[in-house]
Amino acid sequence: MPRLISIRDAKKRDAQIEVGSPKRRERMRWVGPDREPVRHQRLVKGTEKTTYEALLERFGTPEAVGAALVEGDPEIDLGQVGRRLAHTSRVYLDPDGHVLYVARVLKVTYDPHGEEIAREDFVDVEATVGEELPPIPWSGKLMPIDTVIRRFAFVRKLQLRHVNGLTFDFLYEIAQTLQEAGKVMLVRAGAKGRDPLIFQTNGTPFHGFLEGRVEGDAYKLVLHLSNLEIKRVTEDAPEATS
Amino acid sequence: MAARQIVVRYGDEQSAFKFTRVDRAKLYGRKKRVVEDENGRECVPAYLSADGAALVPPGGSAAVYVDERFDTVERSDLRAVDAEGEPLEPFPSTLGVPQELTPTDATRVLDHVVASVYELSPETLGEQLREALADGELFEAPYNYREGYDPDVVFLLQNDHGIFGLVGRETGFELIEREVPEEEEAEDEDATDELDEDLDFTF
Repeated sequence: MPRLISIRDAKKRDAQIEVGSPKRRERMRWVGPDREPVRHQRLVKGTEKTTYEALLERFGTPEAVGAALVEGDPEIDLGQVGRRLAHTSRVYLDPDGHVLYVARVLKVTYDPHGEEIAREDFVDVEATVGEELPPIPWSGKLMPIDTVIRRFAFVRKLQLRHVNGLTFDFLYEIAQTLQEAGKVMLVRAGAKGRDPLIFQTNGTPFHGFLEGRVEGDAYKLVLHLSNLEIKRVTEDAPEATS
Repeated sequence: MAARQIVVRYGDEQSAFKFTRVDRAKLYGRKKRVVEDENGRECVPAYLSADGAALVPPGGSAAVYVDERFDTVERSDLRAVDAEGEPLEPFPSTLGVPQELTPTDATRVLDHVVASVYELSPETLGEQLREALADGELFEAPYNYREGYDPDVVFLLQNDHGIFGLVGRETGFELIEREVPEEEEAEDEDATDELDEDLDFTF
């Protein structure tokens, strides 16, 4: 189902338009040895009664667990194993394997070396872009394409698409403006355009760069999303030999 | 030549790079959502089946391929075919195998979603490539981390921090035209500005 967002143009007009993700490549698919169709399926392999901890609690000692495994198949829950795993609910288990009814959800922050630097209650971060949310403002901050592709990794992309004749003209004009400038425009959310683009609650925050192309009566308007700079993560590069 | 290297050829020179994946955790750190019980003990997620009969802890599920009779098909028995059902030959890994570099432009990079960023450390770097990268030229080459059926492309570029490889997958985004319904396209030859016929209001 197409997702709708609102966006504002340079004339401060806003419109609700559709965004689409890249097409999935379907160059190949898997078949069985006789070329019969196959499908991917997730099945139950074990349950909370067949974990090592559960068996240890049941038999008392590791040696007793070993003996039980030799004697029979206590690690197999015959009533459940092989069942299709679908339409499940997410629950949490405590270290004893019991379902949690009262939980505290935390956000733990680690520095680049993996050291924990903060631990606090988790607070939902709301989306900043969406059908019911204010339009993405027109920042007017243009950046050379050659610069942005060397600084930021565009790890997600959305194509902006019209939903009717009026929004066709609206998006075409934006694409034309950007093509004529030969640059991409920095795009952020919020009334003042200072917030990251977040497309769903607790979703990944991104900086956006809007790129437009037109060709005859057709346009392409793409929102390039980045949450990663192109920087070294190791010490200085060793000297290379020519 | 070590296998885990990106090896490229530009002109008559060959260059080889060791590579390290650049990710957010290494650059900025990371955030993790942790669930604790009332005693402050960290808990693990599990699946509860729709009928409530199965509680599946981490590691308690298996991903398999099944045929139409729901018989399991071993991974080693799977065959890759194209959309028409014709068998496909796998593309070998490009690591350690010299790949021809092609000059490219920034638009090509924009036409791809970046799946991975690699920091490249040259083991050997041809003089022509060194100069071209320093001059801001962009290059691309085929890329396949391991043998597979869906090869990617790697873009080579240089910025203030060094030389990088961006592994990209084409977006497939196309130019969009305005859809005009067929009945609107043909001009109505009989159309006039005058209302020269009576309109039926009886409906």
